[in-house]
Amino acid sequence: MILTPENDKNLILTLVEFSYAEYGSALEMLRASKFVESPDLKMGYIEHAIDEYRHTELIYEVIANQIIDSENLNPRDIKFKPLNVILKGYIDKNAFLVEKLRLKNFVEFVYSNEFLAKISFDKLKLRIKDRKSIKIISGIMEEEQGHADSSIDTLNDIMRDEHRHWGYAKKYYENKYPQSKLKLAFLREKIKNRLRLIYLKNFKFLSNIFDPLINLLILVFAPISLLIKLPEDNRKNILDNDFNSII
Amino acid sequence: MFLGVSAFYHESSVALVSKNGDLIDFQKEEWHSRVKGDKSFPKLSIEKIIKDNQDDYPNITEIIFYERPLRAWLTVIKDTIKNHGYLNDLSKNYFRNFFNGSMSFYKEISKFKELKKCKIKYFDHHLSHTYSALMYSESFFPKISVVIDGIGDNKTISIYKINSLTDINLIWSLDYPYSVGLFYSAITDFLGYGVNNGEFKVMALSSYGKPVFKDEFYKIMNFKDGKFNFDTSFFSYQYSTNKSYSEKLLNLIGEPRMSLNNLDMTDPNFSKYADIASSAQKILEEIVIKIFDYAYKKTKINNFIFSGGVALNSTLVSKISDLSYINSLEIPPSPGDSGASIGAAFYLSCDPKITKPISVNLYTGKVKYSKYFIEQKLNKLYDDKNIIKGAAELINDQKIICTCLGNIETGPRALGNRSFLCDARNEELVKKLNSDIKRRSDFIPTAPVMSIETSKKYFLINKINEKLAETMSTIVMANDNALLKYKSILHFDFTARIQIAKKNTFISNLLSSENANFEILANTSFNISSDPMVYSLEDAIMTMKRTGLKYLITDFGIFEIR
Repeated sequence: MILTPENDKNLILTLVEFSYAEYGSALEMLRASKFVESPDLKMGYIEHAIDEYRHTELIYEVIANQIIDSENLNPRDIKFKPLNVILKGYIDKNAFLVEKLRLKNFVEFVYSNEFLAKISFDKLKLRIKDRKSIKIISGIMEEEQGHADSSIDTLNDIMRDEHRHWGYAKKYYENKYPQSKLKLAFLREKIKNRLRLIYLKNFKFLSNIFDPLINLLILVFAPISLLIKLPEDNRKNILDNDFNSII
Repeated sequence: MFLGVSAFYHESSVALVSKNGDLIDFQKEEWHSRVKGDKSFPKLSIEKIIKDNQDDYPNITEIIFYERPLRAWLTVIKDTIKNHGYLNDLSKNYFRNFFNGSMSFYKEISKFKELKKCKIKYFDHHLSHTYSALMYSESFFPKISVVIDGIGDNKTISIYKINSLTDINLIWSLDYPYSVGLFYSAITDFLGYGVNNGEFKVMALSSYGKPVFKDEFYKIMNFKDGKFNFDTSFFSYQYSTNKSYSEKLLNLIGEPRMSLNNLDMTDPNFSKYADIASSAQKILEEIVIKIFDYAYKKTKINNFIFSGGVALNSTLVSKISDLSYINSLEIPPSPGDSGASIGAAFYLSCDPKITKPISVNLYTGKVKYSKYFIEQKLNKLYDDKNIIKGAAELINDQKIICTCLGNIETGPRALGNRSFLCDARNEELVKKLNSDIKRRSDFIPTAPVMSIETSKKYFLINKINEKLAETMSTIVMANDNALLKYKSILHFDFTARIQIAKKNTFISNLLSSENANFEILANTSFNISSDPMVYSLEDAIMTMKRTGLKYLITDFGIFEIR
């Protein structure tokens, strides 16, 4: 999942989000490596995961370079916590993408995401001033482009495999892929990212609506919760307690 | 068959236990999601258990959750609104997430059509811990169970008298918000480490300091003859979601550590932080010992089991094991919340007429491997008949080897099936393993593994810590022989968290191999610091490529990364 950072005010917090996005991609790729049978494909996804893990670490190097100028930030808010990749929604544990999508669609997704990632890093680069960090970001961008390119190769390999499996003519697939469907996939991911950005931008606005509702709920139910008495333990034999109860 | 589930607070897990009390399978969610400390509902683990136990899962009759969701929720919410107002950060967070935490257990488990017919039960959190310890303990009674953690349901400390597997009396307990575990976590937070995963760093750091703040900490908490004094005003965990300590603690011990980087010994404030860690460790030890003294005084029973997250503090455990009145002290391999799923499921199997045999299997996480993949993609150096010989030769050649063998360890400590191993005499290599590969701070030591005979040559071992060392649950003092030969695996205070290899395991066979030109190995878990332990061959190869290591020991032979 890729963010579009050009209008985001806080560079460091944007970088933190980028690092979680890269980490999420690493987990998706590692999951994919366990899902596919072909040793070549497995190794390809492992290598891809390694790159994404490294990107996460590199972005933290960039953060360390930038943070010198940002005295107002509390490291507690920035520190990398693996659990945040779930809490922030960068992976959906109910179904990793490779399980949710057909393999072909998964590869299309990888392609379009890597391409979008490259564009996002391109924009991010413009907001970073120190040379060391720019070099790091440029390195990441090159690799993202490389992954996008190799996704096309992977897709072609899958097509060839499926051609053998189903006996369809190779030419048919080569005519059909990659261009037209990949363009569609690209558009689909771009729309998803736009929606995500709109959601992020409106999060504060949504909080203004939902927070009073939560507060109202608390004011109604908190006094009731104070009245509920927790059951006493049976001290003679605690195993006589009722273990069907959630209280 | 019984399924135990632990989730939503620490690492979530699932345990499958048979009717006669055998642990058939155990899966931690972080092994599958690859997110360290994954506490979300263990969907992937349950799917894995169902898939890998096709013959057994249709016989699952009951599912048991390791705590009582509503009691746990109400305990916190009642305290926070009573003492800190209705609308504080914690109360808002608790209400907002009412259906996302433990309360969602029923909804989530109901999504598994394979488990639709199972009856669902909810066990007491501290009893789940107690039964996880009972599963791994000798079957003689009576004994005392001491459980200490951050919070479980409404309790933070419990003392139980175990008359039998089906007869347990609650002797004494301490209720939330008074919590020794949360005190230690608040200090962990103060020192800039993550709550629930940085506590072991505080323990390691404590050896470098002096307990100069001990008297200050005694102003916060003390225990005497069953009466616990605890001043919650030094903390904010009762009303805040992102900080555990209050301004009052800062007035007591100074400014907290705020840094993105690992703390190392060159930090100008290192000794101050070490003194704080030392003081927290000291008061934890003294208070927990008073709790054990109280339990003994009340019951005159000298056989103990100890569990809950605080039982992971091996320095504390070593102090308890030295107590003169203790005859036996047993700690399960996974004393924290992830092991609580085992305890809950084991409870369901307990029958008053059956005396359970002790469970000795420390490797219960079933894994399926793809032999074809590694044979295609890695260079085979030794076949499956020469694994021990090959591993010994590589270590003799001063290589670091990585193991991904058989079932994965039940507990958080690598006991040889998911380990980085190297010759413990080679200081440079051990240093490389610790700092370059594991990326640990320089004050955190690497643990050694050895046979029982070797342990007696180099360390002060008694009957109690001999057994605890099988799961690396305690630390022991080195003797002069170790100081001369094995400085690399000793901590600053000349202790080591040793593992005594259990017979008939890979690690024991390696140490006793005729090809082995070593008697002690440096052993650390096969992962990079922010990742969970390696689970599958894919994880293993990925980790090795990230660390630059080359030699992988598997059940199919020894392979070299291309």
